[in-house]
Amino acid sequence: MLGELEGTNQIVICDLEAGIGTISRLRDGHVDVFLIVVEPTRKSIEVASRVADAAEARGARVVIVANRVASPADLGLVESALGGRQVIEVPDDDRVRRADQRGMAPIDLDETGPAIAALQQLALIAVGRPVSN
Amino acid sequence: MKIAVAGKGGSGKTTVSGTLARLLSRDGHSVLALDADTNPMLGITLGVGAEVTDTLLGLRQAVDRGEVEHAFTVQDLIDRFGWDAPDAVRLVVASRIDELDPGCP
Repeated sequence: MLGELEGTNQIVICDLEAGIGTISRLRDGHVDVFLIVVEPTRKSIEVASRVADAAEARGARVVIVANRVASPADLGLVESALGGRQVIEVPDDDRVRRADQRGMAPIDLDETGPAIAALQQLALIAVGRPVSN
Repeated sequence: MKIAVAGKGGSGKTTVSGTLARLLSRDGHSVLALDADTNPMLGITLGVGAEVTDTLLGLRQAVDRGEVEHAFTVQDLIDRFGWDAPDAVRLVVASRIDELDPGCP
């Protein structure tokens, strides 16, 4: 399916099945960039590491999204384990939690917090636009 | 351009996908949000609401059970298994049959 979406000027953003199952079935060139979301926990990092290796083996760009980062130690854990790759930090943000609880899109409940700001930067990075620091 | 969002379950993958889709659309891109998760929740983080998300899940399950014909083309998938989300994002829920397997349309 993803192969057929070639040639449009559309962006397809695909929320993959959790874990590493789907990526093992993807072929080279089907996906341009993998955003690998990881929490600062061993298990999450382990899955992210496997997905990153598989994605890179297929020639895709990989960006690590360190989610729910609550401290520099959290970020350090992710960066040291998934080192050498671009890491974007999305801070732990209660606004997102509240949106989740209400079944609302975080961007609709409150788009003013640090998590959405970080995701806006991620959006620019994902499409390959230079980002101001 | 095709962006895939991956990660361990519970990592926030679906929240990142849905929010990114809305942000990219606001940045001026035409965005298709494809839910390929076995537990499709992308509608919630996109802002279509729980009811529509459930409806699309039900449709997806009907395809998996063989009660509804799966999509034969990408356009068919977008038309029959999709919904218009806010910020002009088109949400599409893929079934196991028309999953990302390149052998099957």
